[in-house]
Amino acid sequence: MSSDLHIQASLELPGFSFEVNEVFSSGITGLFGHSGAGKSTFLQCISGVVSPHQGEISIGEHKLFSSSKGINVPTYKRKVGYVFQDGRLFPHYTVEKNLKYGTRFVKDKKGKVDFNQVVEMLEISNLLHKKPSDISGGERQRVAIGRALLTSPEVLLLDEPFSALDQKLRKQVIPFISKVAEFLDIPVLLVSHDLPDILKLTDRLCLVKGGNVISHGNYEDLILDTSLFNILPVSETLNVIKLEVKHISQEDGIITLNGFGANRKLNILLETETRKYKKGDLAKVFLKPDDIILSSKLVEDISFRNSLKGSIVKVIFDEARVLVVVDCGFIILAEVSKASFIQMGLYNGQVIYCNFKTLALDSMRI
Amino acid sequence: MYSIDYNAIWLSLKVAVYTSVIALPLAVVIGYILARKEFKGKILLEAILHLPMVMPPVTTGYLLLIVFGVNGFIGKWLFELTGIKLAFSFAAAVIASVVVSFPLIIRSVKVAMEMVDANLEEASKSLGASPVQTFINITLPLAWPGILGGFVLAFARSLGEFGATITFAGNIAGETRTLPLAIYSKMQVPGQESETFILVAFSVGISLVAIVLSEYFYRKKKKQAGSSGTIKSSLKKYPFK
Repeated sequence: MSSDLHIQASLELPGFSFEVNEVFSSGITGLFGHSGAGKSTFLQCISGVVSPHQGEISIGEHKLFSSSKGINVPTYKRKVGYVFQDGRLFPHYTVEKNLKYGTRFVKDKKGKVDFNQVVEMLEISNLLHKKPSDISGGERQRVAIGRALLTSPEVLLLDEPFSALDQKLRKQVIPFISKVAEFLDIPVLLVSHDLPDILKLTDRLCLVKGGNVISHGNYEDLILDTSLFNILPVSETLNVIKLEVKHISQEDGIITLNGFGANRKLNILLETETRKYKKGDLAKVFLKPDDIILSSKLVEDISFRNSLKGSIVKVIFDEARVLVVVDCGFIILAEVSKASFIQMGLYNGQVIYCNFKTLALDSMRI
Repeated sequence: MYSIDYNAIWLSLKVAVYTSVIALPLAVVIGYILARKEFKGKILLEAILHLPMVMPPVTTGYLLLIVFGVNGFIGKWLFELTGIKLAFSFAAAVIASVVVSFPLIIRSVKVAMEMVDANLEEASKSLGASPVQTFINITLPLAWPGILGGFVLAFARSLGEFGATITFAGNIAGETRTLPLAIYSKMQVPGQESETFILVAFSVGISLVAIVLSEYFYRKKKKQAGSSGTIKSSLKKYPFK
């Protein structure tokens, strides 16, 4: 049974004030914000590296900090797993000793995370006897995650776990974080300033700006209430669509995804990485809003293979760009220039087709 | 045949071993505090600890005499209480040697501790290790080559100690006449050039071994620090993000 993480904290520093009051339940929440917004302070308050001037922090019944009751549990007694952006493996230990480092400090034997299970889940069994200097960045980060898991934490904090990894290595690490979060059933806070990375793992976002949480909720809702655009320019949004694999065509190399009724059909390209798909699998599909072409009629005889019919539910203006929110059973964001927006005479409630190439889609099995 | 003063060599080694064994744990604790903690008067404390390195050893010896001599404020009290006379004894030779070599060992230990990434200590605590467990499991092993290097240096410095020893411990054959003092004594007597030279050769040899060992540990330390487990060792903690 997992416990919620409650944090109510305020901290005044020269040139920076931090004040939050949030609850995080089991599953991944992305802490999203610019550098200097207070994301790390957030994590440091939870882990105990930084003490708020005033506030209460608890995991379920377990109080970590309370300024009114004079409680301030030291970091090492908090049961907060922390994965640092630079891994921070101990260079004088082998991978195995790194992994087992925290286990000897776990007092409560029940609910203890099993070593072999973690090694298997993170696929690091072949690394156990190596030194951290002899393994790759992605492997190091996986070991760091495993090391934090093996302390049987009640909360897991991931501080920019991908920032030191290139795109290829990120793809190696992201699925494991997903697995880990499912396995643990505890609140997982993922700090990142890279929205696509967060969206690959979760829809739940907590937006941090200027030392405050400005919004906390589902990605779609944060778009619809426009709070996301306080942090992110319209041009950097991303469509995330969850669909089921309906049909796989080996000849064309195309997978058809379906959901929300017969007309809500997407074709994605079958590539090495996506070859693992089976019929009935759920997939997350990513699409940039500026890869979408809007048309008021269905266009035929054209090279793009995807046309989604929907209706405009919201229009968001950002200088010369316009973000058109289309409801196709799921929300689709399409970016157009202001000029074409005016020329097409788009309006709320209008029926519209979102057209895009199969090649513009990136997908991930979930 | 020459009569070689083996006794002086043996005594010197004994003083050096005592010195290193006493100074090392002290230096580890103080070095850690200097490397990791900020407090008022830290600069002054560091200056005082390093003073014997730059002060003429004879000054150090004189000050020790003032403090620990039979009329000194600690020495007097100690003598009245226990009857122990510290000055002009083997213990005095060790004390003089500890005080003089302490700056070397503390410097080396402090630098070694500073080279240990404090982020690794933070990581250790986040994994459930208490500050003491973190110190034993992470800081100490990672700083170990530097600490050993300091130990060797202190050992060597103590073998070479002359000024403070002759002032505070005297030049008593078999008790406080260490190698340098023996060399000095032999030099005063005409016709003992060969004996003097042999002692000098011993002195050079021991010092050389010590310096080579110290360098060896330092390089080992550097090699280890170079292969840190962090992805970007330069990626320091930004406290507010």
